[in-house]
Amino acid sequence: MNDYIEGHNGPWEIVLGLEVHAQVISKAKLFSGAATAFGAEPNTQVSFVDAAFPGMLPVINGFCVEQAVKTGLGTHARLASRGGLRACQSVARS
Amino acid sequence: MSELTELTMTEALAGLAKGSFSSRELTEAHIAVMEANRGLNAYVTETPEKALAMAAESDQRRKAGKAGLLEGIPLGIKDLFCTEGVLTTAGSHILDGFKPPYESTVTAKLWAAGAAMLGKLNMDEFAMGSSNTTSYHGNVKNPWTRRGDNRDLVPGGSSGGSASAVAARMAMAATGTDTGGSIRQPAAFCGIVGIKPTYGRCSRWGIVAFASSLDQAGPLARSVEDAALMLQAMAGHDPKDSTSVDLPVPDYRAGLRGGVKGLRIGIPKEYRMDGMAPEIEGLWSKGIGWLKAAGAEMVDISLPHTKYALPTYYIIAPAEASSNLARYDGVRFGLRVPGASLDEMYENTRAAGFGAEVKRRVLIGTYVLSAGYYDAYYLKAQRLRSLILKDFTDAFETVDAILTPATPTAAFAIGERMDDPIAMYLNDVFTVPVNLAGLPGISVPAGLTNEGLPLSLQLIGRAFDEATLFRAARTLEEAAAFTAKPAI
Repeated sequence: MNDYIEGHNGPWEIVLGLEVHAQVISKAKLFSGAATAFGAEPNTQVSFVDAAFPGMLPVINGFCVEQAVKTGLGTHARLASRGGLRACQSVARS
Repeated sequence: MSELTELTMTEALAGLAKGSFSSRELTEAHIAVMEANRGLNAYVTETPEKALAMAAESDQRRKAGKAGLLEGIPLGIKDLFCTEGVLTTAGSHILDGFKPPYESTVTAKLWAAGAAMLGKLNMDEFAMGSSNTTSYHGNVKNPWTRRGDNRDLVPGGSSGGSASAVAARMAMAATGTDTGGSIRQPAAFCGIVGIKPTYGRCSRWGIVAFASSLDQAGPLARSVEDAALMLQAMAGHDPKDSTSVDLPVPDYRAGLRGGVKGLRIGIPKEYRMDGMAPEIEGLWSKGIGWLKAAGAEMVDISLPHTKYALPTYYIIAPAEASSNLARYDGVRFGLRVPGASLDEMYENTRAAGFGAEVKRRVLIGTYVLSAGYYDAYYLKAQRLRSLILKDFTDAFETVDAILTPATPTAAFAIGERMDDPIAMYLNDVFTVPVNLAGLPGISVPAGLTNEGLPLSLQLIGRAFDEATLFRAARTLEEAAAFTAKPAI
């Protein structure tokens, strides 16, 4: 059952989309071990990785990945079993 | 004293175990050679006091019966590895004064194995180069010279200081990194052994990044056995490096003398380049003969996408470098050149801090990643990269290792080839495909040119099959009986 609004040239159908940005609840940052606790003094929760010191490498926070998978399961989304940009894009389009 | 510096690492370990000499004596001998050969400019930072302190601790550990794999061995460390509290420059002005508050995983493993640090070795700036003529700290000289000609020769690059130091007996072995040939090519120019292990074999944590999908740490040493021993200590999974692979490190010396009977060796026809020097061609034939005589089976193979390897590399590597070098901005560490605004400070710092070759590659990298050109260059290069890898995967269905020359020429004079950066890039024509495919490659000195300069052969192996490479390399080493030394 569609809701139409009669316009000047014909009927218009209302379609609403919601883009939701939700912060992952985790104790550490996504790519470094530094804390995400709210309210700390400036520059006290910055690791060498966050500060991009020479030789530092990002390591993904496994807990955040779990949270993302849970979100996917909760919204009945299709989950890609392999990562990467192309995989994310193909899942998003489905 | 000088006899101590003539020993291989393996021989030195035996001597130390027997008690013929102490690590302190061994280290003092190397410090003396280091001081006597400052003209080669192999070291950016000498750390003799630290080396002697580490040697003294090693002697104590040995007395207490706790000898590690490299107990008491004095090593040189390429200045790309972050060493805690010790100046780390990556051969660049932009890292002036940078003393890392952390130790790279690879060097931490070497110290845990009982080795001592003689100093930080000179290199092409940010590992970009194959001649060690782009370092802010000056050119490195090759300890070898042409017969009857006293012109200074390049040691190769980017691990030029590492190769020069090991060849000149200023260190028993050294660490290097190889992104497009930077271990194998300088090892070849200096007549020593160098291996780039499989991508992911060693940790990149704490190594100043150049091209993240290509960089790999590895040893330069004076014998295949020494290289195997060094790699043993350097390799291993590191949870701080997500690209390091969680596979056990085998005993690389275990099968070293196993020989090559029944091993299938691939000879790729595309590596026979137009205008290849007859001496290189000749050495390659000799290498084939040696392996055949030892019972290996030669198989002609084709790696059809070889000719795209250099252009593919010179799109991907600069692209990754432009991203990795974005952090050098004068804010948190290293050189800062003030400006009237923040942007001006960034511009002034990077203009003054980076050398010409680094700027060239950062600009190329930024260009190939930019909106209008990403598909035409970077994406295309990534696709070609997978085709180059497929060439090797297909070849390894019929062979166990591939034999090629290591370099298209012997070491050239400093100043030769300086006008054209593209001519310089050709130095890596045989080594670059191996990095693109992420496979292990080793270069072994096998002969001398008519002018008395070393030439090497390269063996390429399956991923994580360094053991087969060491075995085949040992056979080549024995057959070649390369005992020539630079006259310094």
